[in-house]
Amino acid sequence: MGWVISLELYKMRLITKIVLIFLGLSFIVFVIGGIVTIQIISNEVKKEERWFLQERLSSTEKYIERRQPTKDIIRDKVIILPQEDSIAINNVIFSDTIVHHSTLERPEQHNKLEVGKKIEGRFYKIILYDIIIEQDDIVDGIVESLVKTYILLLTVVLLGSWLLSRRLLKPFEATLSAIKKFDIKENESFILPSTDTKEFKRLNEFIDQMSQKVMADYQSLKEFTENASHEIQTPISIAKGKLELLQEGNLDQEQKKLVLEASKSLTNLSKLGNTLTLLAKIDNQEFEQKESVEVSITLEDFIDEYEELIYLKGINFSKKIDEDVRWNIHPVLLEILVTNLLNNAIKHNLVENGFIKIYLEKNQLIIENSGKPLSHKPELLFARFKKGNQSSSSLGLGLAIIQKICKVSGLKINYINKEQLHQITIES
Amino acid sequence: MKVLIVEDQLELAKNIQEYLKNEGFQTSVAPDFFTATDKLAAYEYDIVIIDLMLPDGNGMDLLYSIRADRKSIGTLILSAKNSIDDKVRGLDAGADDYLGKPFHLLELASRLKAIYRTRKQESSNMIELGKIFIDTGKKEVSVEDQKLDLTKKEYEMLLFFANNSKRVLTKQNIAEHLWGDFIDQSDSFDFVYQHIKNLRKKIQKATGTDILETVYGMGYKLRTL
Repeated sequence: MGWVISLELYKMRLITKIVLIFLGLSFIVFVIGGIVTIQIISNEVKKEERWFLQERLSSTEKYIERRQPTKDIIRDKVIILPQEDSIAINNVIFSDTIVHHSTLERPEQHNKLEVGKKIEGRFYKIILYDIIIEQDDIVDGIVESLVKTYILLLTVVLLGSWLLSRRLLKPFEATLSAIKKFDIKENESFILPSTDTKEFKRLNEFIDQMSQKVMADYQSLKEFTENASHEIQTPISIAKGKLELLQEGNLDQEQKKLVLEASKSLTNLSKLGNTLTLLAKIDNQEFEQKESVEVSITLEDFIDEYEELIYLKGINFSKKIDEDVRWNIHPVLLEILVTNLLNNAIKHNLVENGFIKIYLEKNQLIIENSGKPLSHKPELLFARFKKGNQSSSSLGLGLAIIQKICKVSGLKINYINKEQLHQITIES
Repeated sequence: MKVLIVEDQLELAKNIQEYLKNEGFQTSVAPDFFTATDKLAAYEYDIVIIDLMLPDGNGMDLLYSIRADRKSIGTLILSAKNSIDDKVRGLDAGADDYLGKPFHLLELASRLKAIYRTRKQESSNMIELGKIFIDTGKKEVSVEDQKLDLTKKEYEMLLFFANNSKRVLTKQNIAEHLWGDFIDQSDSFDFVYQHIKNLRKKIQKATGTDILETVYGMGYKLRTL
């Protein structure tokens, strides 16, 4: 049982935990406090009763002086016993005694006073007993009042914590939602709500410092990527130039082929660098401003440039392009997007009887092409360096670029593959 | 043709210099902005090759100053900043052409020749290849006053051969020249064969001679006419 409760406590909200612990502790305090209160009040009552009995004793003495009784007088709560012999006098003894209570009609604990007195030359033994408040009544009263107070405390604390938790924990919730929204790729500064609670202030300061450090690290990493992929172009250029000069010389067939292969690899390396630079640039928000660009014209221009290549590769080409289609996008990104889409459709086409169909409507661009069926989910191709065919020497970055451009430009992209049909839809 | 190469990477400048020397160009190298301005003031050049990133300045500023007071000099920007927006910016600033690093020296030489021709319009507008005349101004090809109907890319390919008349051009060279970034290194380049076949056929039909020869295992070359 215990571990079940503690497990439940583990999942509870902080404020509920605090309230429950508080209520548990106050219950213990109430019990101890009740016992102490009963003790104190009982003692006080007893003191009061004794004082009262003392009062009664002096009036009883006056009564004896007047009457000078010789026989025992036994009345309710008063017993006067005249003595033949001398007894010890003025020795007041208090004690408890159980006496039948006349009105309550049950035995009840009474306070008893017993004393010897010498009045008018005769010795008397006087016994007085009485009760003001019964012990039971004290206990009942205290328990009842404490229970009521505890219930009041319970209600007030629960209600108060429920109401206050919303106010008190508001900055915490705000911090949480701010953290949730935090995106390292967004370059926006991370704004945490202000608070006057010390703990939350410290938490926010800590999160703020951490996020700034993370963002700064990320930024420098991005810059490094951009610079590194950019800087490799110069040495590649030099190496390529040397190879080309080497080719000019007297080399035999075999050697020329080797030089050609080396040059090809360098070109690949350089393209990889360029592509990574481009991805880093997009990440670094270097293509922020959007403008209304006529997609129809850009698309027609690029098709014009590559239509001949498509035909030379034996691919059937058809298009249906609506005029005056305008999208809000950075013009350079649109060009890169269109180039990559066309390139992708050409590169991954079938060797025989391939086709490419391009449709441009007001809000969408659809590019359909034939190609080998995918062996895995099309979404996976959007990851960097993911290729449909791992053995191909293409970089596998084309779709990653397409997706990135769509993302920063607020375009929706969808890739469908049905056997030999590949369809990419881009919605503005 | 006199060419000034403004390039801080000495090895790269040496590559260009050596290649262009073989092509019969006169070359001179300026490793920084200061030397470049100095040389431009002292000597006459036909074309300046400008690297955008210089140790003591921006190649773009050099371009502006050339455009401002020496309008006859041809300019070609060379930069590792190989992205479309840099290209657009460079061309907008008045450069005749733009080439991103890394590049083929062959490609560079072709572009320089094209710039040179455009700049010296009066005489060099026409290229003669036997019976074939290439009008680079109108972008037309004719055989004995008869216009030859070539596609855009066929025209560009013929011009590429004409500009590199003594060289063997590989399928890769041709493909990259015509379609640039669109060409993947994994491509078989077989389509280039088809492209060349079409061009050969058209020219052979008009002139009766095949102007191209196949160099086994290497590529194609303009036949000496």
